[in-house]
This record gives sequence, structure tokens and C-alpha cells, in this order.
Amino acid sequence: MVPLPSWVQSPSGVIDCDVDILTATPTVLHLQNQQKIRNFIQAEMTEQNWLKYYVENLPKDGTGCPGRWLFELAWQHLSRHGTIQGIRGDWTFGDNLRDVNRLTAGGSWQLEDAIRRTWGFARATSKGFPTLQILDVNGQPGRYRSIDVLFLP
Amino acid sequence: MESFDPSIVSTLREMASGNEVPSAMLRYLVTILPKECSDRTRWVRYFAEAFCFREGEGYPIFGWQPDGSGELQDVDIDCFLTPRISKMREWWAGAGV
Repeated sequence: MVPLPSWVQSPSGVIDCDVDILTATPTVLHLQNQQKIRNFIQAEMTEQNWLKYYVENLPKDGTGCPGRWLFELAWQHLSRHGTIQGIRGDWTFGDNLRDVNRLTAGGSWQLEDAIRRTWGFARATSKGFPTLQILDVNGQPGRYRSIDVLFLP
Repeated sequence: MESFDPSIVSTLREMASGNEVPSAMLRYLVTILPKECSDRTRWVRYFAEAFCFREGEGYPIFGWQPDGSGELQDVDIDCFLTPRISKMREWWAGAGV
């Protein structure tokens, strides 16, 4: 286990957030909450200098390290070692895909607009990546099986 | 640097070469690796090492659980990962360990 550096300070006002760094290299960061097994982030810088990550805090019971905070730590760590050129969302399950399917069901929302309503898009825009580039889509509105999207400046 | 057991990496490649499906490879990892709280991350890292994934191609694994309780079932994980492993074949097939 890697000793915690000064930039990893648990956020205030949260319950059961005690993060450990399991992996920290110039291109990979893996943080695990020792108080909650399904609460972690795995983030990496891809060869194309895109940030790719998976973050989890389950069950959604108000405890654990917030995903937004874990994302922030990953951003801080990886951007120290290189310039992040974009954020890649490879959604094959999870909240982002579920939200897109909910919004596009019945043809009420266009795919791009639905993506702009996701948690992943909010994280991307918070770092200056508001432009969408859809790399691949599998499925139909309301029943997308996968969405591969790149967020760019 | 992360460390990987070369015999496990080699076995994953042999399984892929023998057309075994990714869900079978994951079940092999479940049996061979010591159980930890960060199991899925280790499986993702092993797949990345074995199949030369450099763009996070193994991330669907986070949606899979060996007991079937994950959002992605065996058929889903096989559908997502098989083409990704095949796409990188020229890199890993002759890579050794």
C-alpha cells in the first residue's frame, strides 16, 4: 500500500470515507475506500492522452467517498504527469448509460442532448471538455447497449 | 510498476488463442487470484496486461460479477470483450510474457 500524500484529504461532512491508494503510477490511479467495498475509482491516462475512469459508490446510501471527489483526485494525480487531451466515456453499463436510455426512450431526447444530461458529461465540462464526439453507438434510443463517447475542449 | 504473474498472463493468452470466451477467462482469474476487495480492478489490469489494452478496453469488466449479480452477464461481457481482444491480437499473440 502506498502512503497517503498530502493531497488526499477526506472531504468534510461525509460518512465512512477512508481512502487508500492501491496503485499510483504516472498513468494509473486506483483508490479504494477501506470502509466500503464498492467505493473506488480506477483511472488511467490512455496512450492518446485521454482520461478514462470508472468510479463506483454502491449502495447509494449516502455513505462513502463521493464519486465527484474521487474523480477530482484522479484528475489531480494524472494531470500532474501529463496534459489530458480529452475524457473518454466507454459506457456499457452504469448510471450514464441508464440515464441516456431513460431520456431517449420514446424519442423525447436526441442522443447528444441526453449525453449532456449525464454525470459523466458534468465531470467533463467541469474540466473544460464540453464538446461531444461520439465514437461508437450500439443499440437504439431507449435501448442503447453501449455508447463510446469522447469529451473534448 | 504493477506486477503480474507471467503464468497467468500466458494462460489468458492461451485461452484467447483457443477461442475461449472472456467470461471463462474471468472465471479462471476468480479461481487463481486471491480474493481481495479490489477484485474487479485486478481483473481489468490483468486483461490489459495480457491483451495489450492501452485505451481501457477492459472496463466492461467492472459491470460483471462471477455470481451473476452484476449489470453485465456472461453473454454481455463476451459480446463486448471478444472483438476488443481480437482487435489487439497482432500485439499480444507474439508478445510472450
